[in-house]
Amino acid sequence: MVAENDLHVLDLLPAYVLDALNIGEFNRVVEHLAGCAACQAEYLSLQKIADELPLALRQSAPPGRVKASLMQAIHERKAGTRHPTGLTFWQKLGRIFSRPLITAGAALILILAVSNVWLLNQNRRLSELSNQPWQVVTLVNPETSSSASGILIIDSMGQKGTLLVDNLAALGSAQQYQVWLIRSSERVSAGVFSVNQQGHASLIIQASDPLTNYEAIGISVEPFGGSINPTGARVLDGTIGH
Amino acid sequence: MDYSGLSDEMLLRLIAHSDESALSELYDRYSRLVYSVALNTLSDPAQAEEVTQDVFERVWEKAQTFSAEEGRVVTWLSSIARHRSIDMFRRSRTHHEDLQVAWQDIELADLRDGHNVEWEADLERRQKRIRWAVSQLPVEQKMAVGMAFFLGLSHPEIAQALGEPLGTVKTRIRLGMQKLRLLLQDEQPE
Repeated sequence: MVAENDLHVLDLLPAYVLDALNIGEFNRVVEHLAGCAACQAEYLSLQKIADELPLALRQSAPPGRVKASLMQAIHERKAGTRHPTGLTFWQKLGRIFSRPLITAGAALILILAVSNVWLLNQNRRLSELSNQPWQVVTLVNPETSSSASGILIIDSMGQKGTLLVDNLAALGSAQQYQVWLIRSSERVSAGVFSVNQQGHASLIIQASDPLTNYEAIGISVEPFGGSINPTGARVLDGTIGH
Repeated sequence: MDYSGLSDEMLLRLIAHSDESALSELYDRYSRLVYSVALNTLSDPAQAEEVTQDVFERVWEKAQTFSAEEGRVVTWLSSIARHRSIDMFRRSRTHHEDLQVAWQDIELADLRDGHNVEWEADLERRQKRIRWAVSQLPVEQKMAVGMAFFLGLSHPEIAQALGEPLGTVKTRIRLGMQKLRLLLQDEQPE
């Protein structure tokens, strides 16, 4: 005979709201909650308790410099300018080349070097472009009848891609979608995003390795700002060809 | 304009319209909370300062995405702070010994008097309730709940850090959360 709590996930919910479950338990809870009103009610009442826990901490005030730094950063962002306190690389470079003779000589060398590199790159790009078409990866959720879908367009060099998603559910303010590049057991974050009211979003995808070196791409629901490894339900995935 | 009487939600609406004074007011209200969440997780004042600034910069960028129907502003802020801190904690720590969470004793609560505005009175009332409820938990349950929530540790990681069987840790977390809910459903201290 199976006990009532074995059929539901009631015993796992306290740890679920604290994020203390392993991935297997987590997925079991997520799947069960989707179709069980009784467990949803239990979850909501426990989540309210978890939401209050930060208020029970012993509180300390941050040093005054944190607010000063924050407000300066915000002010500069609003004004569209940044005023770094130290000299930038370019400012230092400007001082070195402030003498006319050094500047003229360096400029000539620089022009010759840049033009050679540019010509070499153009030749290489042209030959590669003629051989490799752009790759289009379709993203779907094969496990549900969701209408959400996505498309990843990888450039002919395999270095960069444009991701477009459609009909993804708008998430709460505490969550975002996170993109993962998948290779064997490795999961590399390729960015987080939110969708608009219509469920649309677009994102430039880049990684330290060419995108075509990965086997697949996945999108999961994660806490706002993203996670180090996937923790939430995967909503879309697609296979990257080679 | 006097921002101190505005609700948290109104401040966020103003922040969404690039009102720096509104952000300043929100920071004054909740920087202690955000910094304390970060400090509890990271045990490093410099990293906690970084998280605090980062959280409010995100608020500046994402204020328009906040939905009051999905929760309170203070919950949103502490959630961002907790996840950002746990991410940093996981990157910087390789072992889980000597980890603690500094719950505030209800007797020592540093709460201001003379609240003229609704948000301040509400915050004080909620702080008193949850601090009282946490103070009623056995120390083992309090520790397990805190390590899971603020340090982002899983059941096995907590068991390893405390040197306790896995089943014991699971039971402590379950009983701790259930007791907190029971306490908060019953009469609360005013």
